[in-house]
Amino acid sequence: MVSLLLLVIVLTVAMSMLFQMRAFAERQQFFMLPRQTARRAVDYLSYYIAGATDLNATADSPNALVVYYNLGSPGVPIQASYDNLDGTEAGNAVTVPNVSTKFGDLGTDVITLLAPTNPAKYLAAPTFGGLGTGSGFYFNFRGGCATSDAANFAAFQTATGYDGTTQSALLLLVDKNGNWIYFQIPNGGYGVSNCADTTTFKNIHVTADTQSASLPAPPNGAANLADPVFLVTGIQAISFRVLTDPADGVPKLQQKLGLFDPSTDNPGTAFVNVMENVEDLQIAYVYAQEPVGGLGTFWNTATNDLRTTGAAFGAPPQAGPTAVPGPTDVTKVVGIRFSVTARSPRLGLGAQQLTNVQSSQSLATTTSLHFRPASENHPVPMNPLAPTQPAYDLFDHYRATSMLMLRNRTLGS
Amino acid sequence: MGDGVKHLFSRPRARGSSFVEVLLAMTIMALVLVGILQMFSVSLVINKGSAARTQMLFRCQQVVENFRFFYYLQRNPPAVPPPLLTDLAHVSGAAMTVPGTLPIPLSEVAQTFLPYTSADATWPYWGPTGSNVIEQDSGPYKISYTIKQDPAQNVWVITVSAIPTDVATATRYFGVGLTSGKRVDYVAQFQ
Repeated sequence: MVSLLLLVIVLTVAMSMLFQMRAFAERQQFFMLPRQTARRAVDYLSYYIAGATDLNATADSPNALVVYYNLGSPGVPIQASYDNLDGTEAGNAVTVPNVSTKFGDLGTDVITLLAPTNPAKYLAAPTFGGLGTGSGFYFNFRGGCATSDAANFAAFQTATGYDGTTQSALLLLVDKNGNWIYFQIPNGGYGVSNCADTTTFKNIHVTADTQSASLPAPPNGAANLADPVFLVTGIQAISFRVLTDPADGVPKLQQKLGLFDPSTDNPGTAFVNVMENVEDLQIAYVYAQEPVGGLGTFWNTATNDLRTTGAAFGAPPQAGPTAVPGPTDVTKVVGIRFSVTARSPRLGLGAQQLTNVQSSQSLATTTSLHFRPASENHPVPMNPLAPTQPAYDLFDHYRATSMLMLRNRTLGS
Repeated sequence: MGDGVKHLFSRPRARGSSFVEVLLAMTIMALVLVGILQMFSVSLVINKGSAARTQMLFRCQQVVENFRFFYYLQRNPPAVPPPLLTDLAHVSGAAMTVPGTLPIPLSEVAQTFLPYTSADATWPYWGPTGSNVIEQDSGPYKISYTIKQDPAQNVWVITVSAIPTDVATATRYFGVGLTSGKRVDYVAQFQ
């Protein structure tokens, strides 16, 4: 009898400690998950942001960050990057109150940029004609000439990201002055290869429409290009946003390979999930010079908002090659300070008992971390029933911030 | 009394463990359980230490990136580095007078700590509403930096170090103290 009693005591103590340890481990897991998620997201985004470029070194990569592009005929400005979505943007609307809009979650940012994937530039044989429909171009491309014209033709299709059925990837033409246009080769536009031309190097013939209504154009329209003109290949337009999945209610970092298009990405099917439990993405633009005297070089922060300078929806303006850029133009941005806020899965009962999820402290005095923290110009969500309190929830949250210079705008530094 | 009943009463005594044997077995089991439980707590502490080190490393990287930005602006006039961080009167080889500032022109800097509390002068830049390198007032880590010249390679060597806080009243890493060896040094070279 005594032996049995001792056994019960030993097992009871051991089991209670084991359960406690399990709760501790679970609590630690919830504590670490948002930190790991936020840092992973920061690492992932860093790769694209630090290397953003349109290979237009003459003009310091003017289209590395894409805020606007023109579309249609005549061209209409389309916004591709946003600050603090609120549902009032053209084509946008709130879909789930206090949670998300068509473009992304309320209060989060959208950013579109060009990232190099397999960058290369090929000279367009002079004289470069004007822009228009059915324009003919010859490019100095000899990637497959060591084998045959057929191999050269195939190599050119590969270099330009030909999808095999309809068209090439979105490319660029840039000229000696840094002027640029988007460029795309249709299926029928791929001409013939002529490796034998080693005098004028008109090795690949292409026919393409440089003013198509369906082809993006620089904001405010294209400038005429002057020789020498180069075809830029191996760059990828990529867009990032945060959107809560209506299927499972989990906020996710999403990316699209292409320019953000408000008419289709609402929410559309082009965005794919990259990371779960990312609940906020904030972009602060870092200028080389103070756009407004005395207010510093960091904008869209807790203290400086581009809306005060007249920027539509808080995103920097983008004049494009035909207009004069203003002091806050995106081409004057040399760095990005971006913040990712992540959250854990909902805390289990055991983990809840080991932390202060039931806080009723005001925002000014709270020691609880169970609410989404402020990030740049996206403030803490407040409890509508107790306006001094943050909107406490049953998640752990963590904000990771990274500041990166745009390497291709700060070369040599 | 029949044979059957006799057999029942004459059955040999059942073999089993004595009280002392059971007690001994329990003691061994308790000791083993304590060892196993200790394994959990040790892994918890190790895990926390690893998390602390990761966080500190991440912050050090961010400090260097901010330095890179600062000196890019300084070298590309008319760009203006953040005045909050600029110290034009720094004496080469000395620590910065104001924590978190940087010398112009670039010169050697003895160990200087970034701001640690919201009362420090450069807090608006390094704190949570700025670069978020220092995430909270009196947080679990302190960050310092030194700048030295390497004449052989003609580069500036910036070393950013993060250590767990030694302030008793501060928010601290669980199980990670100054003597834990959880120090992170991050070195970068500037031209």
